[in-house]
Amino acid sequence: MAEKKAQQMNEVRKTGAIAVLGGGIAGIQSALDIANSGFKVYLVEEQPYVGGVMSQLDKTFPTNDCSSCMMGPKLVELAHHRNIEILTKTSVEKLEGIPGHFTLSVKRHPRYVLEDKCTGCGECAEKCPTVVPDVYNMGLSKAKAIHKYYAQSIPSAYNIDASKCRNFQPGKKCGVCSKICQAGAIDYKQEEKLVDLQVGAIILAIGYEPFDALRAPQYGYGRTPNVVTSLEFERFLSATGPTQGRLYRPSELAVQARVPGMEKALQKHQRELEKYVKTYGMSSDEFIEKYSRGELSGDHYDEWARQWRAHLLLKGELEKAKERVESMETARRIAWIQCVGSRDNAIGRDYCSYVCCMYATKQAMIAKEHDAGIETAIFYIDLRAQGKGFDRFYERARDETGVRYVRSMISRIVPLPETDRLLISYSDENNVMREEEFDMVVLSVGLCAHPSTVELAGRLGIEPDPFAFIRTGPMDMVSASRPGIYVCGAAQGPKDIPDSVQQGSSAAACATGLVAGVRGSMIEPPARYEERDVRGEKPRIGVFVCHCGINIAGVVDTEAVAEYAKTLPGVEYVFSPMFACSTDQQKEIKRAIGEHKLNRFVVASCTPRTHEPLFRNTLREAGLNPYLFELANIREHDSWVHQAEHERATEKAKDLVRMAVARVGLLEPIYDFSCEVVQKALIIGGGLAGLTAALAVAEQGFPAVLVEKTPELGGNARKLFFTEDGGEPSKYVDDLIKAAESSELIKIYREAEVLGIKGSCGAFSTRIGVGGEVVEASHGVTIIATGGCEYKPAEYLYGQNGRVVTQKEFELMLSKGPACVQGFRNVTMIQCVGSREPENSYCSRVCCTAAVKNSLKLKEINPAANVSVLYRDIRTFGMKELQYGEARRLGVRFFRFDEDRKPEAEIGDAGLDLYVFDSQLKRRILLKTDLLVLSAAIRPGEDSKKLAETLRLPLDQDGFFLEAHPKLRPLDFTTPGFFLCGLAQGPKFANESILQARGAVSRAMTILSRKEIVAEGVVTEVDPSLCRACGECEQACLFDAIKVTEVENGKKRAVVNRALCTGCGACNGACPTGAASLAHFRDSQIEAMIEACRKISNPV
Amino acid sequence: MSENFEPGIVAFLCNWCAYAGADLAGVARMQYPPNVRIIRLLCTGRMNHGFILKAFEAGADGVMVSG
Repeated sequence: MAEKKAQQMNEVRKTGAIAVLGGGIAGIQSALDIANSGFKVYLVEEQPYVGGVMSQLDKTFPTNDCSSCMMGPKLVELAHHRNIEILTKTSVEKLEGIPGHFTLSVKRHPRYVLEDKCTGCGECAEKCPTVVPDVYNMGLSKAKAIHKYYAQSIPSAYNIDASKCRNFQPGKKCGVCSKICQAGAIDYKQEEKLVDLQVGAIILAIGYEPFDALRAPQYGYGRTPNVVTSLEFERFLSATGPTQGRLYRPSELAVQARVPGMEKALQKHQRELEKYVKTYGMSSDEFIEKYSRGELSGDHYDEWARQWRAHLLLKGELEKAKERVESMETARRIAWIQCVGSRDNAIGRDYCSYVCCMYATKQAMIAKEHDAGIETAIFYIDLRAQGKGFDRFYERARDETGVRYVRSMISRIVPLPETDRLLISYSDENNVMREEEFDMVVLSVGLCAHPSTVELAGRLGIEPDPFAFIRTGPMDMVSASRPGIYVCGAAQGPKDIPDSVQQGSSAAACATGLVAGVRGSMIEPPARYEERDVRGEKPRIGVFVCHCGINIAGVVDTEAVAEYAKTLPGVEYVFSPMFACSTDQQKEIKRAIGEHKLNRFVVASCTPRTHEPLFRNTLREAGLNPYLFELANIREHDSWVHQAEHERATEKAKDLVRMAVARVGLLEPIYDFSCEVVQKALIIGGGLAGLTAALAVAEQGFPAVLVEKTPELGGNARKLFFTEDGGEPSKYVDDLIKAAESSELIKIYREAEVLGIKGSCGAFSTRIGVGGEVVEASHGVTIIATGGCEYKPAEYLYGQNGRVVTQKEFELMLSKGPACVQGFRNVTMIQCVGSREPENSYCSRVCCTAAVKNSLKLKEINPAANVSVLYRDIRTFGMKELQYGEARRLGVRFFRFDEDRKPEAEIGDAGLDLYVFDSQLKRRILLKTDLLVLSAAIRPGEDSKKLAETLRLPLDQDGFFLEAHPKLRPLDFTTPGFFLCGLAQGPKFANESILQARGAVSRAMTILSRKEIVAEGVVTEVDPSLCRACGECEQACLFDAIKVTEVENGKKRAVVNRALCTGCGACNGACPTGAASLAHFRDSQIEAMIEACRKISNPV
Repeated sequence: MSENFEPGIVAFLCNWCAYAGADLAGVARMQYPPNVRIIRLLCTGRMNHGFILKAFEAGADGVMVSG
């Protein structure tokens, strides 16, 4: 009893806040998940901006989506989230306390720019006299000492690099930015500040550092300009990079950069020479003629002559340089060298960095997209395309885009000084030495632990692994060695973006699970304001015309626009502030609304995409419906793009204000609406992923219904006995089963099947068939965890000869103990059976590691056994590479075969005869085999297709469930309220299924943790008097949001499901009678703007 | 048509892509003639023929729909 009370007390004292250390994509995902499920987040970032490495990438594989476009919405949500406090330029000092109530001490380093005052206008950087290398562009271009990394940076405030800023150098003074800043945002006196954060748990997401290419001197990086690292090349590819996406060679760019300096030096020379000309009254030409004839002598003449020669030399050099710049061409031949700083025992980097094969493939594709004529070659050892959709991407690059892949070790790179090209010597697939010249060489550098990891681990009391990544357990990839601290992203080991994102969600689930009892205790509920009813009132419109410092007023005559606005119908109040978005101007808007009884407001300033939420909130606070507002974008769409045309820009601003005023007068109040959430989860599939998900939901304090089609829980994991890193999935899943069975919150249905589903996100109702009966379950979210299965091979005598087994069957034999496998002298394994085939064009991810793991186990039991592995590419990614190395050391033999020359199995005298054409030895060899083990593919679950149809969820080309986005939404479906995890999503390891399951729960908690969900009110409404129930709208809707439904008395009409409507307006166009009308974008409201274009200030 | 004719253009842009693109053009200070008036829609799915005809009727020389 006392114990229980103590436990309750402990629960009460827990802190409902979580610190996320690191603001890269993994940390961002964690922060958003946590903040959206009822907890406060401190996002701590050492750099001045969040975004991490992903923000520096041009495109991402395998979709080649623009990286910053994908991140944009997440960054905006992060910046405006009321439960997230972003602490940039902040480092960790120490950690005290116990899980549930930690005190994390952090040091906030000064930014010298006040985040709440800086408007991001950029005038300071324009005028700053101190030029520094641009960190965001990897030092390939120049920036200023006061700088913002990129246009969409979060926070949007500028930052002063005090190590470079002149004002902070001893004995120097500047102060230019402070003088130029009209917002008064510069504060040189800011000081370091120690802050204690009270948090319940900590998530570490500090990312990685690219391998330092200088540590691999054989490639000439740092000595040869045209050898660049992959991250530098990424910046060259980017439109926001140093060359705006043109692939000029660094050697040429260096020459180009030297020209202005040379021109200046030449002018100086000329001035010096002119002095002589004046003094001695003869031209330099005359002088030199006489001097060379020996007619003039003396020290001053010698000096003149010396300067003359130097002048000539420089002039010659300048001409040459200019010529070179003029004839500058982009790189025509580019080579990528893989595994730089990876899979390299000599420099202590034994592991594989996971992402390099794919990013090199992407970069080569994008380079060819820029210019199809560019020749690309990737020099590699094994092509590792183990992620979802990666193999297809690789094949597309190779077969369609024409990227050349050369399986080879580079013997040397020689720079050719004449052309600045590089000569690569390598031995080709036929063991012939070859030489090729390239314009540029890209080093595919690996991922190393972030340099601060070891020190930070010490401060937090957690253990790093031998490569300084954060150590986690074999089955649990997010818990660090100290309870209450979780890790995600590349801080835990090399990984790509989707794996980082799902690990970010997974860590969020663990952290919030720990403090689930105090959910909601540290967050502020949104404030509520009384709203004035303006229906029936004539429009009384207020207008702000913003100067935005000089951003707008420097081009547009804002006073003239303000005067013009006064003449427009309905306008009662006009003001022209310096910064409309500043805090004091929000007060002015509220004051004006009160004093002038305004019922509509227009702000002519910048884009609604960033500033509409701010002004809408001001209206709300002033007692007006927030939708009675309109922004006229006279900055991005006017002053910034018509900088030289002041008059016409001013006329355009007037037009834009007139259009906004016309529209705002017709706007109506709109009310966001809420739907009640059934705080219960449905989980389909009772394997490792499903069980983990059910328990994670229960840990969060919510009930779960688990539906399993077979009589037994545990799925595939029951047959996985050991992993390469010491895990025991079968034991692990047994524990999960016991825990799930004894949980009061989990209802399990065995031999059950989902028959049908109704409702939408937050309120589903599902019919489940159990033992001939049908039960109904209501739930708010659905998690798909239906698993997959091992392919039953039709190849290599499987099923015909007892000596042929699958890898999974072999594992069972190994687990049964020595007696079962001791008799085998020769064991052969064949990889990619059923994978990477034309009809199943995907990699099954786990088979290479399974082969290595089982080889090692056999060698352990029976060291005398000969093991041969026949493979196409060995894909032991990440730390799994260490086991591959171990297998090679222990004498496991690896033979590579080509796709079109597969091994052949025959029944021999005393076993099996296996013939394989070894592509390295270039000959056919015979392997006598006692046991043939087939690394069979992973296939989607048999019932996936049926379930997909029942639930109306999409499958990918291979029959696995298709996530909302392969990069940033790997655990969500496009349909709100549905999530996925485990083998149902694609082939993966047991610990990855566990990780995904927890991640899916984290995503689900963003809905499940709320009593109600609020949806924006900008949805279509149907006028019943006009609707003919023709169904055209239903046809047009992509989201099942509008349906012809029987209302009372058998009468039919279109009914909108407001929770599903996205406000796209497609049904409005389809509706023949005008019954379907999108709120806030009604015909009349749009037509008023068009009408206001009538007087477009046309040029003469 | 006079030589210095410049068309007046009404553009209907999707909030999520083309409108964001026009914003980016501003951020990048890309200069273009000031003869376009942009009308923001949540999605170009909202377009209908009527809007286009209405724009011409209002005197536009060209209509651009981008999304």
